[in-house]
Amino acid sequence: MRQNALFSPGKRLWHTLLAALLLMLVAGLFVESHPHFGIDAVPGFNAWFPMLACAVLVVLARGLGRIFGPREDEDGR
Amino acid sequence: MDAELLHHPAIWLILGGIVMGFLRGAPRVLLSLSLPLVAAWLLWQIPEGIYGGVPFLDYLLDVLQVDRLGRLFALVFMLALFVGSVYAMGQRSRLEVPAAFVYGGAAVGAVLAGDWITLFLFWELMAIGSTLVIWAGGREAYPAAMRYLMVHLFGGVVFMAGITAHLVGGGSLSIEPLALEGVAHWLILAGVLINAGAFPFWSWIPDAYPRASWSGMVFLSAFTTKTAVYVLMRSFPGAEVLIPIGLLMAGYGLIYALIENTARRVLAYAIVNQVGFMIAGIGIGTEMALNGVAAHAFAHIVYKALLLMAIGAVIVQTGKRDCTDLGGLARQMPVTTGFAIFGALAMSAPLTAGFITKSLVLQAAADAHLTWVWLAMMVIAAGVFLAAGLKVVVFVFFGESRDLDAEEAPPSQRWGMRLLALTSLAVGCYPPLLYDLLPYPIDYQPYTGSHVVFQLQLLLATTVVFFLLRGHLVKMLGSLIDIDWFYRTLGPRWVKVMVYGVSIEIREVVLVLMRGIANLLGSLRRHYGTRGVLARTWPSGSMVMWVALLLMMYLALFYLS
Repeated sequence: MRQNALFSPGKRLWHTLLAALLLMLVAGLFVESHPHFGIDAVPGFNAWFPMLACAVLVVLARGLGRIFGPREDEDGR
Repeated sequence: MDAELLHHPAIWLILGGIVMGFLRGAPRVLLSLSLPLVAAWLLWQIPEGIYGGVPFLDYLLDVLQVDRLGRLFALVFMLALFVGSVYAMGQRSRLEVPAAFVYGGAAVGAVLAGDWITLFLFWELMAIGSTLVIWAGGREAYPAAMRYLMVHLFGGVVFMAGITAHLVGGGSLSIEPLALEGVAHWLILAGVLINAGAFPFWSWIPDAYPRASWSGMVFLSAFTTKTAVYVLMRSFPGAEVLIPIGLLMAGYGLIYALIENTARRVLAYAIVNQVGFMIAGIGIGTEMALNGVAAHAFAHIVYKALLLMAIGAVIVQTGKRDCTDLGGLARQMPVTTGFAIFGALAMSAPLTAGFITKSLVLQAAADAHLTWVWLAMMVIAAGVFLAAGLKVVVFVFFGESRDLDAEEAPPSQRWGMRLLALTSLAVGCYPPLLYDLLPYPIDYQPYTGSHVVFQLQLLLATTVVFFLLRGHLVKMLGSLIDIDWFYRTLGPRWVKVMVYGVSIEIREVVLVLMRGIANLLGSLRRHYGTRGVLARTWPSGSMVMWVALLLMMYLALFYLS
């Protein structure tokens, strides 16, 4: 199987992304919010929680991929 | 029988689909573009109410029930048929689009059905129509179409058993919320969940849908699972068991979508994921949650169809389906790339339909103080954007060029994508377009400072994680063993072992039998064959002796008696 050539975001894209994220984090401190559970009152919750969640998901998927993959029937190709 | 039944949009769609099967070229295209519009107009003309009076067995069926929920789903289905027809204008198969109209028309009939029996009849017609759509994908699609049909016929039997038990037990013929008590209602729930793609019957979605043609999967993604969501909304709102069932589907869809290599199978897993999200919402069951689920069904049909159209265009141009074979198409197909990026954003970015619908369900979970459900839904929202949005778009359209021979998608395909993007944008910019159609009155403002900022935080953070972990994502591209391994690999293997194991004894028995028959035939041949004892020519002397002997025996017997 050919490996997908990595798409590397250039410096400019990285900077834009991080700047936008930073801007939103700062903006998040100023908007009026209505936290329901306590944990969502932690600053930047909507940024660090998805980050953490996605990282855990990817690790989990890799682990499962080692155990249950690859499949052998015609779908495995 | 009520006169309104003549205006039943489903009947016109299904009949139109059958007629379409006999047409070719421009008349077919014209019919396929006008039928959904006519059906939508017909539906708009029918005032809310129940129409029927069709006798069937001992029942009077309410074939047509128009209310806000049914009308919303029916209109979304007609939109899907219309946009799908625009996209599929260049489809050479004479079977696919007509079958899609029978399928879509049956889905419209199911969501407008006023009683269980009508619902079931349209339900089964959907199974047949959708099987034909998959079948139209070519010879390779045939086994998958048959597996798909078997799963759905099985689901139909379970559903029918539940309905029968419900009716025999004195249950109401009309479709009303059911309490989860007794076998009948559990069977109904199971039958519907099979069509929704719930555990353990979820692998039919990634198995069958991606084998349809480039346009077939656009139709397929819209109807079956959403009809199941609709029936669950009607019959089991607030059934708590649906929350874990939905979240399990969502988690499964996410993990498998992260690993899967074939682009459209990634999107198929994302369908399971998002339908799971909706089913969990139905489990919450508040008016806010149900509004959210209905709205999200609409948004999901739109953005998923848009992504599938973009990938379908890539399949037409390159003939390739896997992420590892694709890449760098943004240069050759800039417009398609733009629509794909928009489709990924339309999952949840502000100014798109996904933003104003997903937040309704999340808000409902928060209002109900379901902490864990809310956290899980946050993970789903972020994860699906990463797995089905960023991954598909970046791996297919960006990265190193594969020197693929591809051109921009033709105008019909571009128009299909354009219409969907405009729909998502219109609803996202002006929410009342959708909110006014929802089943319950709604008081929710999606565009507050915190909603927008927090959503952008989520999307940007997910994008950063994606780019950080992209190396891992590439390395794990492949496919995983799924539940279908049990009935597609283990099952046949087991059957073979059983058959061969038993056949040793069978062979013994057969050999003995054969030997017996051979012996019998041999002895018959010895006596009656051409050289057999009884066929020989005998000298007349011996004949006279035998006749004299017989006569003597006769005389002896005569005297004795």
